[in-house]
Amino acid sequence: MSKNDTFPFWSDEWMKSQQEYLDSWTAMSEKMAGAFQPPRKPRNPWIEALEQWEAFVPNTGEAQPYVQRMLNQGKAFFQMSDEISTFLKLLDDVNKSTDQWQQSLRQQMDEVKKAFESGQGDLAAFWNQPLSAWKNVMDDPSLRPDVFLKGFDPKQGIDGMIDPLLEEVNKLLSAPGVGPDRETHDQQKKYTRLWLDYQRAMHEYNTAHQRVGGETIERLMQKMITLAEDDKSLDSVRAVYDLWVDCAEDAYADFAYSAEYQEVYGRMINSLMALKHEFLNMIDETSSAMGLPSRKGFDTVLKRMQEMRREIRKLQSSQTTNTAGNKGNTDIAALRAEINVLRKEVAELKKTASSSSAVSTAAITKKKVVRKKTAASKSTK
Amino acid sequence: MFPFKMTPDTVLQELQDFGTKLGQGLQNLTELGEIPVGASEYEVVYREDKLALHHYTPQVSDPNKTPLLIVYALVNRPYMADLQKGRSLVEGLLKNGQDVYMIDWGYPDAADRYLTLDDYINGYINNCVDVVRERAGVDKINLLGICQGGAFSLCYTALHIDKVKNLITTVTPVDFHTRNDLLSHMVRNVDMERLVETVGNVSGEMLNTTFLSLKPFRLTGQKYIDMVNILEDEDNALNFMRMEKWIFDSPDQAGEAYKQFITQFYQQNKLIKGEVMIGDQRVDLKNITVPVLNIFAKDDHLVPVAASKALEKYVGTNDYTALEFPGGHIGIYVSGKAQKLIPPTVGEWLSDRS
Repeated sequence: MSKNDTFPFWSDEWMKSQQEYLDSWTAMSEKMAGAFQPPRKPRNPWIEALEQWEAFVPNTGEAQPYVQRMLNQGKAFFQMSDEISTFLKLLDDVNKSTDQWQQSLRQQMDEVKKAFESGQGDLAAFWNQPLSAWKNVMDDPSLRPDVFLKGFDPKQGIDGMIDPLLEEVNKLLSAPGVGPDRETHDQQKKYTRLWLDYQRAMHEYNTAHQRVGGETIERLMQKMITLAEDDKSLDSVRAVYDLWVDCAEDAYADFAYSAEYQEVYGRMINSLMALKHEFLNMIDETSSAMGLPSRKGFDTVLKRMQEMRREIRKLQSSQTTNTAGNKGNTDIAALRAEINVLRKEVAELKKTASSSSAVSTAAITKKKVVRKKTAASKSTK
Repeated sequence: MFPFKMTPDTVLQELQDFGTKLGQGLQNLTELGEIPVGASEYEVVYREDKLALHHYTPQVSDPNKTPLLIVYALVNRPYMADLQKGRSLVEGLLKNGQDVYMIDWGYPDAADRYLTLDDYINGYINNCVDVVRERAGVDKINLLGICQGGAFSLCYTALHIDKVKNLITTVTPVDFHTRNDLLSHMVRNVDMERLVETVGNVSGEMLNTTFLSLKPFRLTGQKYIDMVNILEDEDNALNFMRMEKWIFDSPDQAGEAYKQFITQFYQQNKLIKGEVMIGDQRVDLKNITVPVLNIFAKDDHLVPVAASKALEKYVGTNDYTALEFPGGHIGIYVSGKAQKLIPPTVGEWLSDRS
């Protein structure tokens, strides 16, 4: 802390005391449990407290997902308070009465912005949190529980993508390209191409988001300067958080309404679906080869069933309309149906008569008797 | 002026307060147990596949002779319009003398993958309308559509004008290509054919994530930070949880119907062009000649005001009423303001036309 400063912002005492308390608590717990933990990087004690609470609290049933959301946002807020505190600490030695603080602000913000756009740092992680839900859905492993459908972490950058990418590509292409496996090889190549398309689209999508993160920082800085010019102030972490959210939403909205967003979003979804679809085809082929029902086959059955139901509904509807609105037509339709049945019967009888001898005649007689008997037995009931 | 007026003491105090409130709020949330939803008594009067038709017990001795059927969006559950006592559109309508029915769409599964808009509109809705007509002994009923259910109600009325006496649409998109429609903007380049062919039914989770991505930092972040201030109170905590349940209890969407809806309505904006096809029937909004009450929300982030207001230009009726509600897409059903404004307005409007 600078002694001459009119803005003695930071003292680490409270943080230290909290950290010491938690460390001693953790050490005691670990000792009791006989566990060994490697040395850890100091973290915000509030976040650690929340994590400990989270570990001990039982599953809360229906409320669980909502509790988790609250926890995540609570942690994000504490994390932000760390960032703000660190940032203000850096401004500590700057003369607040001149424009010097603005220069320092810009310097600090430029650093944050760089970290942001490269996907590095805690602030970038904070930015990504609201978007992680979408990423989770996109990476939904239900159709392919392995690395293939995961978009690579943008923190790794394009360079970070290369090695794992090549590794996977090599695995796929190592199969022989001739002989009985030729078709499989082609299929794998197609799958690999789709996978590369998806990785490219996902990378493009993530990169665009990181850029919006940088734009948010730029706006935040401008708003802070404007506040200063208007003699307004930020007097709490919450006020800075709200300003941050405003800037983030504005920057995001500008991006989301752009033609670029429409394109990268569309490409990301379409390439993912193309990849998943191809994978489903591969599963179907394997299932069929093993004599198991395939997804495609099941879909066909469902489709036909629904078409049949639709036809029945239409028939019922027209029947109801006929009954209600046009009795004459219904009568004619019924008579036609009856004639058709009779025609069929006559045709069958003729066919039987022409191709059979007296034996068949006896059979018909017998059949007639049976009919009579049936009729008689019905009438006596 | 240097804008930061924080000191270590004030920050520490703020974080301590926040941590205490958060802890208390989380404790309250974990002790809530089941989250009860639904306020009004009803009986199920018709079932078909996953669908159930609810008839709510009238709350006045002489309710409107023309029953009112509510059709909500496929992504919601019936309690979206009947969340709890004092926060229920259904309750308000019952108190205002309406005889209320509502379609509960249920939770579609793989067997419903090939349900089309034709099945929903000319099948399910039409069957429910017939049941309600028969039970009430009337030829025509009143129809109230909510959001996507409003778009369905428009299609239904245009195709079955002989069965609808009055039509009410609430937060209903009509023109899907207005300037501020982010949802429409997002899906414009998505290959729906491929998407549905791949995933089959579209999961509720995927839809919710899409809705949240319209305002990601407010809806997944700031909202929960705001809640820290009210969750110390158990009733508030329960109310908050009801709303969360309301928002996240989203059934999967029958793949084929979803594809048709997104393609024809969101991507191609065919409703206002008179080109939407439901089965083999074309929907022309000019066929809607019955009285129409169109209610929209001023701060709706899902269905912009302009998207709803457009209805006036395209319907054929001479009796069109518009009502702008000062709130958002969800507030229109559950906020205190909504309870005071919407049910009485609907009740009065219907009474004038019964």
